[in-house]
Amino acid sequence: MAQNISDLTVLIIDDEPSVTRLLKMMLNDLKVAQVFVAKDGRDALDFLGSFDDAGVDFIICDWNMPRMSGIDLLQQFRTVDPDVPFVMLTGRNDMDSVTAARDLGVTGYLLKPFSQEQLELYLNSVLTKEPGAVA
Amino acid sequence: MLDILVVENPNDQWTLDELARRVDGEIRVQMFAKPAYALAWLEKNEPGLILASYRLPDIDCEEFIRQCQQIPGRETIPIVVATAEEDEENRQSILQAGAADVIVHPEDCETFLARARALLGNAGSPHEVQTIAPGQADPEPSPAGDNDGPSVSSISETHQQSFILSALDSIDQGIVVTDENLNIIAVNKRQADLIADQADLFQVGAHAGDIIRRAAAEGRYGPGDPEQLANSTLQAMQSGRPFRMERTDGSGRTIEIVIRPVPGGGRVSIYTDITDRNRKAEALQMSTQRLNTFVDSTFDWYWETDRDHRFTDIQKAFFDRHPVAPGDILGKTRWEFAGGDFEQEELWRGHFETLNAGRAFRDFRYTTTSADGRVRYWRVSGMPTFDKYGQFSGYQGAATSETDLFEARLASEREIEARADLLQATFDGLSHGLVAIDENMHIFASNAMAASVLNQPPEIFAPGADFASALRELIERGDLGSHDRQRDIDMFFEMARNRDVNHFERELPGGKTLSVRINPLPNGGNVITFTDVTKRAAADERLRHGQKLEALGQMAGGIAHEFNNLLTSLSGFAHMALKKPNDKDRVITCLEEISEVSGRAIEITRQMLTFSHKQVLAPAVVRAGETVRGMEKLLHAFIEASIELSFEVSDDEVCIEVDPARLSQCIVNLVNNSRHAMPNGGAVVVRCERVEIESNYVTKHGDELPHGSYVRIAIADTGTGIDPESLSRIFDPFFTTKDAGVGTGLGLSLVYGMVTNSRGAIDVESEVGVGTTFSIYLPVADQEPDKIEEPKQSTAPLGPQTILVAEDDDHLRRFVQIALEDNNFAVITAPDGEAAFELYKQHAENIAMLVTDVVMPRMSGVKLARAIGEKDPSLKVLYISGYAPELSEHFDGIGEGAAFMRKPFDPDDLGRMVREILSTGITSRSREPNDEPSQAA
Repeated sequence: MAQNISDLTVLIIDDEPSVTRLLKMMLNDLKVAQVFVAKDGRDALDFLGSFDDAGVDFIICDWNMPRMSGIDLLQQFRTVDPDVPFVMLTGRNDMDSVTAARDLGVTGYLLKPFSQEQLELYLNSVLTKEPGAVA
Repeated sequence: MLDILVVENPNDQWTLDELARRVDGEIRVQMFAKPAYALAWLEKNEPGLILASYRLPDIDCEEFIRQCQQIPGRETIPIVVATAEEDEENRQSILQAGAADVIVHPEDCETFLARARALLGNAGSPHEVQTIAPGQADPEPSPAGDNDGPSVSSISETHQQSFILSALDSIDQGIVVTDENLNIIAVNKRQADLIADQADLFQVGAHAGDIIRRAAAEGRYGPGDPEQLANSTLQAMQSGRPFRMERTDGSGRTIEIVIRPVPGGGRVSIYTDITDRNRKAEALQMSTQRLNTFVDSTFDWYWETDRDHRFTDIQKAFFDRHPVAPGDILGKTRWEFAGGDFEQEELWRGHFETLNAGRAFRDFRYTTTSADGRVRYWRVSGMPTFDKYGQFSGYQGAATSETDLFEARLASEREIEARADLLQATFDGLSHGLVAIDENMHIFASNAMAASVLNQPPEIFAPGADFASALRELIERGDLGSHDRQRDIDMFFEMARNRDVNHFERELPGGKTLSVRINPLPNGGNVITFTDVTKRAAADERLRHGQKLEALGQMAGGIAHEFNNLLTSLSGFAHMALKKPNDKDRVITCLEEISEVSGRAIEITRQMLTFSHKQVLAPAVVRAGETVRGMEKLLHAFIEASIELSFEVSDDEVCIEVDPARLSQCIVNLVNNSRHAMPNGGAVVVRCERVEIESNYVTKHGDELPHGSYVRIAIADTGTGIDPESLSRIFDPFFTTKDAGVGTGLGLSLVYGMVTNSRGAIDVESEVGVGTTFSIYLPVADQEPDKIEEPKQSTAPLGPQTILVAEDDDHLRRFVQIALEDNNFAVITAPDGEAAFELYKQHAENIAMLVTDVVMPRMSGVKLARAIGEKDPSLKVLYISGYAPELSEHFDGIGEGAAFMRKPFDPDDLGRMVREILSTGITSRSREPNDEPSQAA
């Protein structure tokens, strides 16, 4: 796994285009190596399926999406790859959802709205932690 | 005048009645067939003479005499008894019983007439009349011409004798003549036929004693000791008095034997075959019995009157059933019985005419009033009767009492009247106004509340009045709160015609809410119910508002999520722009993102405010598709992303008449239900289409939808579905399948109320595990949609004119300033009302318009506008606020027709609005779609 932000290949999954464009602009400012965008869980699965391994180093995924939600995607993704950080982008922080996501192996949460600085801090904190640890 | 009481056996061959009437001079004959009635009459009347048959029905003659004389004051009235044959023994016993005389009819009629004439001569003191000694009535040899039988007093000449015997042979009776020793001296031929079995005994020279003994021994005289029978018969013959007896023969024939003395000491015995006569009497008796049975079954009793119309006979049943004594009616006429002088009464005059003409009458009805005041009702029919000479002899007929019938009818009439009174009282006591009309819309019943609930004088709905014209007048005067009078009139007439239950509500001038219900009557016509439902309508309104707030609360959760996304973009791009302010392309990209996202946020806020808009029912003709599409953003914001929401509008033009705000609420409610039915995501389709319903359609809830054109707005989900038991109750208030705290369960009942109020219906189809589809049907409106004015596009700037802007939010104040300056206006600004007022005072003549926030420290926008308005009433004012005016008390006193713009707004829109106000002079504009007076909360 890449240890620096600048080495990262990031997959953004969100059905809200302005949010994905914002994230993309922020990550580009942070000089990540590559940014991919999927508009929902199903789209993301199609994208990930085209690689032998995960093909990405970091996943930022919205929670609520049509066709396939973030939590469903997490569940399926973890059967293939238990290690790639998978961060939930969400407005909610109720305990039930957090517990469910943790049990499925979520890496952490990024609460909306967020600034570029918050995103940078969060990426760094995930990269410096042991794989599988939860933020 | 001489009153003669005649008591006569109707079976007698002769009529004493006729005899009595032969008395010359002023007499009145009262005839009865029944001794009991004669006695009853006698108790009340005092005749001068009584003439009675010896053979009376039901009573022994001697007993009758005794009973007559036991009546106080009637002891001395002479009683003459008429017999058919002479019988000295009988005669003596009758006289001993108290009779004044015994006559043999018709031989001794003159005796009776003589006695009656004697009484007439002493009419003043009938009791002192000379009585005829019994001996005088003894049978004396009568002149030959007076006798029925042939005279056989002298048979000295052979020629004459054979002539007489030939004559005797020609008659139809057996004749046996004996000498004083009872030896037969002559027998006619007929005798041998009559007594065929003993014809050999009746030979000239034979002795009557032998014949009598043999007949008795053979049982010809009936049961009893033959010797005794023979002896008594022989004694009677030997006595020389006339007597009568009967014998039978072996073949069942009955022979009557009348034995009379003849001059010279002999006897003549006359044998008559009375078998037929008896049979006829029997037949008559049976026929009478049948008649009685018939009378009993159709009438109550029969009656007879004489030629003077006085009752002579009344069936006993009458006296059994009614408290009338025989003496109260017998011998009286019908009108005397009725107790009045009816000469002047039309009813009776007609009856008298009938009686005088001797015509039959049928169902003559009259009444009597007894001493206790009870009125009795009688119905009587009668036929005239005639005696054997063809003379009118009276009437006979049948009668019945209708008292029970009339009393029952009277009681039932009273009961109906009482019931009607009760009904009317109930009717009048109702808090509903009721008007019942026939098929021609004429009022046949109404209560006082009907007029009073409509604030009208009572006579407007008086029975007999024309409801159609009353209604037309009401609607045309505007008293029914109509907004389209002709449409209202047409609608009402259609409702009265279409035989359905119809219901609508109206707000009357003065704020009263009136419910009008039209129910068809089974035989045509309608009952119209007017109910003041002001309180209920207010409660409904509160309930609806509460439910709306609940829905808003539920929406808030979903919308907060949506706003989080929008805010993420807004704040994120703003920061990104500020980070590199010199990178022009980057800043523009960021600002474009911000502009787009905030546009969406504005739309969602606007729809939420529309949804929460508090207003009275404001029906308008709108395009159904437009209303449905107008909710797209709000619904998308409101439901989770895991639910796929799509809209299918197949007809953009079709219109419906509905309150658009309430329809929106219905759709939100139904989508909200779908959302709850799909916790793990799914799909919702909101469909809007025009449908034709061919025949009347009944929904699951039992509401009938008449055939016609409808707009169907369907909300179909792929949720959990509703089980059949819940399905039947889902429109009931407070029925909910949601967990406690999730909802009140009022949603569907309010949707139901809104839809039925708009003359539509709601239906539901659901399958557990498959999904649910709610369909709202609303009748297609054939009108053009009502105009909802859009702000005019006006790009030509008028400026520079000076606008005074008062706004306490620094950012917004700057924004407004830039927006107006971009639109070529000069702008001066103030951070609160007081400062703005100071500025106004300094620059009064230059200021064209005030644009002010409503809620500000120190002096509110409303106060500021009022203060400036005192100096310059023509100054135009535009209020800007984030509050809906109808939801905020800060708007109190804003005045009707104030111009208002809701935050947030687009700079171009603000410029357009200000230009428009300045150019048109319109100050009464609002950007709200529903252009109506504000409802200040």
